[in-house]
Amino acid sequence: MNRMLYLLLTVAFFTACKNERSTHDQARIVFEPGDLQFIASSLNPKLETMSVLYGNDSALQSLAKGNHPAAGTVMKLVTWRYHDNPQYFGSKINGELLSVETVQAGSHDSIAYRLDFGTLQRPATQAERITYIMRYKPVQIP
Amino acid sequence: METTKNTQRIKRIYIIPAAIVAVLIGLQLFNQPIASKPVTGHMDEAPAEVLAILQRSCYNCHSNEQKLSWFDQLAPASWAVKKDVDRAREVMNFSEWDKLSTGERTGKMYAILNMMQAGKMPLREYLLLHPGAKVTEKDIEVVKKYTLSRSGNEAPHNTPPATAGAAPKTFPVSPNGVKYTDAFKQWTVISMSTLFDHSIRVIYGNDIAVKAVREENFFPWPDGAVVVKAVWKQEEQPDGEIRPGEFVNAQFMEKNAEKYKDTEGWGFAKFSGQKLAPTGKDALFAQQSCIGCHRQLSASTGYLFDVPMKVNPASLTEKILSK
Ligand code: HEC
Ligand code: HEC
Repeated sequence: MNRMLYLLLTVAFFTACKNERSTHDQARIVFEPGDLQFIASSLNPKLETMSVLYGNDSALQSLAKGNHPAAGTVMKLVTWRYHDNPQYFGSKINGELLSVETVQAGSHDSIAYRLDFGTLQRPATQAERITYIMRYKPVQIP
Repeated sequence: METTKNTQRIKRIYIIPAAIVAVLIGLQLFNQPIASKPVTGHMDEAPAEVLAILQRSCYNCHSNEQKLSWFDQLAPASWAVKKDVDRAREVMNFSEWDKLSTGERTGKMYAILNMMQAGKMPLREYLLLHPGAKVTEKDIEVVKKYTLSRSGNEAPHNTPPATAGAAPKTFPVSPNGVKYTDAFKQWTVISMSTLFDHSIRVIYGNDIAVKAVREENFFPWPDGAVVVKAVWKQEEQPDGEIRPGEFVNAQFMEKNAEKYKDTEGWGFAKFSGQKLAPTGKDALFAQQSCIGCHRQLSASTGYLFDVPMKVNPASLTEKILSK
């Protein structure tokens, strides 16, 4: 008897659970870096942003060694706003996509910069952004 | 005629409860008491007001010091109680608090706070018969204040320094059968996170997992989806920006509904340090130390916490893809 009640009421409680608020024009997006792979990440507590740096093989090589990038090197820095994780107090997670920047090395040591999407959270010249992006080091995984 | 009918009805009225009582008495023969275990150490570091809340609302399940009422001890209710107590003590035991490191205690305090805030603990069905165990907003504030005070004055990380040494030549296997693979380094990044313990994390997904995220195919996640979370210590740059420093561990969740039945179809694994040492002495470790939190607090996304937030316009996907 007790157990039946226990069960019934549990079922009732669970059906009464709240659903996530409807967000039909919003999506859970995953950035698609194409041929590039993950190289490094960062977190800026002042700007409340998180970034991921993607690149091709030669980007990985030049950032690991701190060399000038060879022609054909491509890097993309993708920056997001972060928030408290809605499911766990004490954890943060990336939210809105803020910007996508691309750095590309051409022949004769030339380096091109492009803001593909969004806006920068702090004004900076192209040269500053190139220097900043090229200071990333690949993450360590055994 | 009338009287015989009445006596018959009266007989029937008595027979049913009598039968129920007989069955209940019979059931008591199958009543197994909750195993009594010694108290090895309490949460002495916490303020009395925090302890009082835990003792009142949580100790009946998460301790070796049950104060059960008579109805908890009668079968069949007692079976449910025993099952809950066994399970609760397996994941967290306030009478064996001394077995946890400082870092683990902080981690548990965050888990406690989150369970209370989400209204998941004490279990709802328990509250029906034990309304006094309900936690109030004020209780939550008290626990929150204490939890935050713990993470403030703590060493930057709770993992023991990774043992030096070369990465293993053959990849390790977790006791529940989840195999480490370094293929995730080429997978797509689905999200990034940080935790109160001053770590920084990147979550990778294989193609099946990425597709499931984009389509919100969470109930259930498709078999073959694998998600890997790499954890590093935070390294602060001179300008205040934080970067991943020393590698701490890689945690896996691999979906196979058939193989990992006891953990909601997810095979959990953790590989720590340069040697990628697997966590757990037997296959039960995931039941004991992983699924409790994921099951209770991230069920709305199929037991994963770090799925990307639903905060970007759907049209953005095409925009990014076309670049
Ligand atoms: C009726 C018994 C019962 C009571 C009372 C109870 N719990 Fe639990 N608790 C459980 C069970 C059972 C689980 C395992 C849940 C699962 O696996 O889904 C659990 C899991 C947890 C976990 C997850 C631990 C981990 O690391 O996986 C936390 C934290 C927790 N409870 C906190 C609390 C707090 C705080 C209270 C008091 C406010 C409380 N519980 C009261 C039964 C109980
Ligand atoms: C105290 C609660 C808790 C316990 C216990 C727990 N986790 Fe988690 N887990 C989290 C939270 C919160 C996150 C999201 C924050 C983050 O990135 O760490 C998470 C994230 C993860 C992720 C990334 C995918 C996802 O769910 O978002 C993996 C993989 C993972 N945990 C594996 C494990 C493994 C393996 C264990 C057991 C050894 C474990 N977890 C135990 C709370 C927990």
